[in-house]
Amino acid sequence: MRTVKVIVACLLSCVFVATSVGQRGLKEIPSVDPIVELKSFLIAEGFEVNLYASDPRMAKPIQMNFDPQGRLWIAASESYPHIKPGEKASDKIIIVEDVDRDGVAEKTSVFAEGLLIPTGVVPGDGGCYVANSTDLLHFQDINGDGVSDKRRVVLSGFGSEDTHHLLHTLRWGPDGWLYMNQSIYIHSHIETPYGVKRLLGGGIWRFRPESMQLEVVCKGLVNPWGHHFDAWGQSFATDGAGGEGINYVFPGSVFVASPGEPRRLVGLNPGSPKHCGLEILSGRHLPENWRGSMVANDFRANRVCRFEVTEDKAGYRSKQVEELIKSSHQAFRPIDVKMGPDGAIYIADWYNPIIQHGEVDFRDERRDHVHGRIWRITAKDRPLVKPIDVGSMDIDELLETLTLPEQWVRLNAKLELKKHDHVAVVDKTLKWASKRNASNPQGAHELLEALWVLQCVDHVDAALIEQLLLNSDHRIRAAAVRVVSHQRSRLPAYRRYLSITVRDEHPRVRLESVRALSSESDLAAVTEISSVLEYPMDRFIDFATWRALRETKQVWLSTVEAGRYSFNGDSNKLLYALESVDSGNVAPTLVNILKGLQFKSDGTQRVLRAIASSGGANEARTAIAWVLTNAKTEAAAGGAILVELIEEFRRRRVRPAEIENLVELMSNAGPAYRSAVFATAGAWKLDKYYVLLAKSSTETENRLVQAQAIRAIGLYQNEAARNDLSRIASGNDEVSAVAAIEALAAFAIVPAAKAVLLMMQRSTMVETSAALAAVLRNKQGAGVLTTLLADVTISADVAKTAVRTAQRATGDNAALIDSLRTAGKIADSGWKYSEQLVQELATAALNNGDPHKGQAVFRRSSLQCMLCHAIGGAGGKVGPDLVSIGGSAPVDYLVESLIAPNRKVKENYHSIQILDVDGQVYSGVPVRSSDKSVVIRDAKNELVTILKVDIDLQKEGRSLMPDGAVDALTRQELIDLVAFMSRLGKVGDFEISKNAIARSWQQLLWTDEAHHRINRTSLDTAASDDTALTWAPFYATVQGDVEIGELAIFKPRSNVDNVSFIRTQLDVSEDGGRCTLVFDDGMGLLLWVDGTPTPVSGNRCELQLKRGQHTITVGVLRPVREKQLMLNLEVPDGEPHVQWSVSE
Amino acid sequence: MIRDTQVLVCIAISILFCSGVSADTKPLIKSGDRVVFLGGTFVERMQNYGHVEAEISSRVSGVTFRNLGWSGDNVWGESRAVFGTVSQGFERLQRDMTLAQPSVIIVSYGANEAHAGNAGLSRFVLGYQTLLDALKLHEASVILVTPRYYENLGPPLPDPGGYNAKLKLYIDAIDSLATEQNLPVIHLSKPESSGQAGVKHELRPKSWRVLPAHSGLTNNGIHLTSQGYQVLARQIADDLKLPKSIFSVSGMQGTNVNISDYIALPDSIRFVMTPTRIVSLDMSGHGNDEVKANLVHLRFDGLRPGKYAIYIDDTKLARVTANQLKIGVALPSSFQHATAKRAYELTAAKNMMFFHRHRPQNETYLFLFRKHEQGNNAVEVPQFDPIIDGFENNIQSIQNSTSYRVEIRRS
Repeated sequence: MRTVKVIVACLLSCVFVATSVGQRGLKEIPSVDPIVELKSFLIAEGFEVNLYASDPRMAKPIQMNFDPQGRLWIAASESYPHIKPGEKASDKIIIVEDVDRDGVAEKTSVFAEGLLIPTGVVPGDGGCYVANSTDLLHFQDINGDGVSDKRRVVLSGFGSEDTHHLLHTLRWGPDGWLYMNQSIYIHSHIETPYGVKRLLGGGIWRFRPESMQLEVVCKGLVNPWGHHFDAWGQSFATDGAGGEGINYVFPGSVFVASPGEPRRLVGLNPGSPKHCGLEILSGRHLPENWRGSMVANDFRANRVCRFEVTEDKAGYRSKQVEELIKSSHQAFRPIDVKMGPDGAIYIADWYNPIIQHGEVDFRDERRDHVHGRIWRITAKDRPLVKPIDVGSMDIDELLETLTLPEQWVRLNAKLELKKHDHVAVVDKTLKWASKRNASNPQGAHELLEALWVLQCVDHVDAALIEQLLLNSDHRIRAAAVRVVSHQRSRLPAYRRYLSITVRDEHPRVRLESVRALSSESDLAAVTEISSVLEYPMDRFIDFATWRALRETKQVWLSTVEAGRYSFNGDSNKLLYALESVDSGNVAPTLVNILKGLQFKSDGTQRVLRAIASSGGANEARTAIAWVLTNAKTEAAAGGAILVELIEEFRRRRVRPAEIENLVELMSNAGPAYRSAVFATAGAWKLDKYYVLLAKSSTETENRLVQAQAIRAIGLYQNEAARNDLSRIASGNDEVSAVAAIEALAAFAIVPAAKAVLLMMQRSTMVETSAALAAVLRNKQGAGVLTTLLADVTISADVAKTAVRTAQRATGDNAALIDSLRTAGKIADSGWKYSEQLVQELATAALNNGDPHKGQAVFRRSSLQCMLCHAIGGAGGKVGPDLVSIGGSAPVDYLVESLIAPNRKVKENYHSIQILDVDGQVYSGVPVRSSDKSVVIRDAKNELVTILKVDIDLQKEGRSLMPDGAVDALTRQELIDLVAFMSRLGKVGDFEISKNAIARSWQQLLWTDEAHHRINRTSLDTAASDDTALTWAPFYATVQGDVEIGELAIFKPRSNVDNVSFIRTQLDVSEDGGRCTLVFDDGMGLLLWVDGTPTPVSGNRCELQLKRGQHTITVGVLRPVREKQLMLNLEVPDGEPHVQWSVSE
Repeated sequence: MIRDTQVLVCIAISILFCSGVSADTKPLIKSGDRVVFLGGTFVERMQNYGHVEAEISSRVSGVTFRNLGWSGDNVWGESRAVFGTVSQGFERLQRDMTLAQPSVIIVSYGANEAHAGNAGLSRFVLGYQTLLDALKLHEASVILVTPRYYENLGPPLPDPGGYNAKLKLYIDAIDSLATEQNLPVIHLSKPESSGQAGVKHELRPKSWRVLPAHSGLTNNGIHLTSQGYQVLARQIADDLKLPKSIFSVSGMQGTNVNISDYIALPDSIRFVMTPTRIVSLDMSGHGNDEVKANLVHLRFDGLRPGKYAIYIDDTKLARVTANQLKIGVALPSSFQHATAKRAYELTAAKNMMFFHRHRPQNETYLFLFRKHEQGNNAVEVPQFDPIIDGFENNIQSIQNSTSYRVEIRRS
């Protein structure tokens, strides 16, 4: 086997001389010679790579698929990303062929042209389907000259709001339907004989060309550029922008960024880089341990990743393992991967130094419009698979190929059978099926293939379905339930099947059944859906069930409200159902459930919260009174939940009935309810209690009580409150003053602003951020303060911190920042965007930047980078995860985004600004929404819920990245920071390891209270959930190290070593989960698991844990350990899933 | 080889020359009009299948067209909402209409709304009224087109009986609306009677290798093929009360044809013929009847008796006698095919350019919430305007300045 056609390659490099010269002078343009690219490849042990096809015979491949004859069809676009005025769309569908089967293609032809950025192609139905802008087209070659002469529009109305989101990823399913994906910005409106099908945002479609049936399989995902079926017909998808690796897709599943969806599923590899394309490997050519692996392209980091996906109850778990191939060549952009007819793995290389679409100018001259390669990866010393042309086979031969291990052959055979006489196909398939042995796994799988054949030719066979529903392999049963769901209209007994399978012993079969039942419209179906709640739940079936109940609410909600249906009196099911909907008059039912509970029962808090979010005045009263009566021995917990309830009722403007009487009861119930009394008095402006609040507002010995009182006074919004708060705000006690300004700013902006100004003028007070931020949350705040600042002088230090606060605050604060600078007599020393500066810094970063020093800059707490940005899941979620930013963004873009963050904003990170009816401004990135509320993530990485009824105005915001964020950096620091970012996602020192390293930690901060607690008790206190301890997020470095030097040091007693504490959490999916914690070195470490001291033997600690979340606390004895530590998690195969927790 | 059947002796040419214009036959489109089409997929696909534009242009010269079709759209402008609310889609419809500068608006809604059946009817009527009110701002004449009934193409496509029954309600409602508002209305089809319920099919088709058998007008029961648009184009033009153009030459006189370089000798006549518009030709290659409908009539007196060959651009088209020429002969206008095809292609290209103008790809970056990134490239979008004008000029000039050398020579 030749690896490269050397002569061809030499010719090619000559051809490219002209191009290279044209691009000289641009930064980071690598050689376009395929040999250079080939030499850059690092390939997995036991594999080799060769150039299968290349430019100039083909350019810019986007999607590729083999046909049954082994020819490779490629959708190629030279006009991406945007057509020029007057330019004629001239993109192509290309066929590449390896006629002599030597592993190198020698024939290329253009099958169709005149296309506008075709983003998908799949052969089928005597030609090929092509995703072309707003249309799905079908091309056919009628006269047999190898070129299409018939073009048909199959579907139209796909959105085109973004050319890298257009309809894409065409795949045939085992059911003979065509699956197609679209991305986040696409809004599609498709006319079919069954009505208009609409899909807004990302998702996967399912389409049957013969009948024009079109369905949405799943919604969401930012760029679902990969989709494949496993051998049992389960779907998996990858996302080119959401960073969760492999996503398990089932009908009705919803993923990130689906408009109007209040809840979504998380993928199987959170914190993973982004991927394009997905192939599940199969076939005899590959080594056994590679079969079933999923491969997906990390095109930003120039590598093809591999995942091992195993079953995890209803769903799956996924582990990233060694890459298939990686490269340091920056134009290597693997974007599609497919198994070929010879059993080798083929990679489509889009070949481009520039991949950004929105962020890099459409007309950036570094964009490559002419190159493209197909690489072929084979296992060394293993025989290839003999290609099978199903086109020349009769029905019997086709059926026999269904026994082969090569998944693509089986799919081709099924699609080919569609072309034969359907009556004969059905007869022969049933005969063939009758000879299979259902009791062995291979035979059972062949029966499943037979069932799919029947589905392909649209035949229903109840007997075969029933046989498979009873198979001992749950994967077969789950697949059969899916077919039942598809063919229900012609299966008389389908409801009987589902009522049995919904109680199957395996959760995935139950999940499929729940999804099948979700489109039914009778109460019996609802009862069956809810029956899965009698079994253990996991996150997959939980989502499926929640959504099924939500989708069937028309069926059950009104009957529940009318008291005619109660999920057979099972309050757990009823509560679960009520929580799944966010409308309807469900509160009286909730109150009935509440009456049957004890204060400490499971579900009490859920019921109370559900009442708070839906109840009216009477339910509110009942709930509050119930807590007061029932929380007897749990007064502290009772007080806390009451404050939460009252807060929610206030937000919803529900005034509990007989409120005076209730607050009287609270007052008499003891000090535990004092906060609740304050909250109630403030929420409903109860005059009787104002005096009490005013008194408490000066109690500086109990800060918590004082703060609550001040806040409650603010809610009165009357003259007395204005006067009292103004007085506290301008007083000498700093803590009280800040609290008063916060309370005042919501309704009396002038005194609030005056008080802040006073604070700023007192030169001793530098830290005015919280008070200033509160004033700026009021829509008039910045304007009032700017006016007040007119003739005022403040210290330079105060001015500097105030400017920083204003830069990070919501809204346009440019005028305020100017007046702060004038008042503090400080110059604007920040970086000023200019193209020249960007170029200078970019060049300097490439030549002189030190990425290791840059990482230290990035981690500097004053810069707050990690508050908003994660790397590989470790860090805040306000801005994009930077895990592969260096692989995707040119250096000048990195510089620009640091010094002028609003020029380019990554998709899915555009903020919205909301002005509420009280004049408060909120700014954040939308996370989810429901009929009632919007949830945004603010610049502090906190989730904020805003009721839709409270929204006065909503508009597009800017980037949450503050202007001036890097102003404090020196030139060299900035250069180092850029150098660090530019290395992220590239092969080398800043590659994210595939090991399960603990990256997201909390560190124990040094506070007086914490010091005293630990001093007075033992070190074990640090591993408890003592409220005196303050923990703050802490993240490992890109390499996975905890930088011990950055941790706070405790010195409990003179005879005890100095010690620092960090902790993190583990999620265990079911009881008995075995795992091993592996430290890089066990020296100088103390370990607690859920607060219990646990020995580390050597550097390892083996654990067996129950289902749920567990806290791992580590004490680091200093100076025994001074540099860094790393904690890795090992989970044996076949064990329940254990993984590091991921926060929302 | 020329078959005699291709030459038709004109039987009553004189009838064709007198067409009085009465009030209810007043054409709904006149020279100089800007016609804007508005609707769902039916309208959207007219961008590529430009037969309606061609047919109208073959009957009235100097008309320009803008296509505002958007798949899945309805009277509320739902498909145009993009990231926004439906009402923002409706606002966009208004803006695009302003961009298109109509003097005539041809509206075709109702097909998508009709799936909602009786329950959705009053909402639809209200929505259509709102739309028509809004369109009044554009001071253009409005013509309504009712949706086509779905064809029954047999399984595996669904039986459209249920839908068609619902659609009947919507068509009736559109009719009432048109009457109320005194607007012309064009009907595209009648419901299939039970006797002609589509093509006969086996209950279970043997296979659907390529496509189910179909009538040729649609390939999925609901959307028209190129041929379907062509057949419908004639019907639409008729319903727009646009008389078919007569192309005739009688001696030195031409109707809808300019004659120059006329030389008449006893044994031959030579001249250059420039039609003022082109006939719309059959693009699909079949449908002879339709070809026959577009004829060029020739009548010459004074030639010596005998047989004559008619050449157009040196291609021999027919052989006739002097006597036939004296009475009048009709030539099939197939000699114009190449020109018509070119105009048809230019029409599709022009429509594509307008598509890039009013509904550009990457809108998100050019105009919407990521415009701070690529908004600088939005300057390219209006650059399509002169390009569209250029295409339009090209189409016009092909339509009125393509000349043919005609020679009638004794043989």
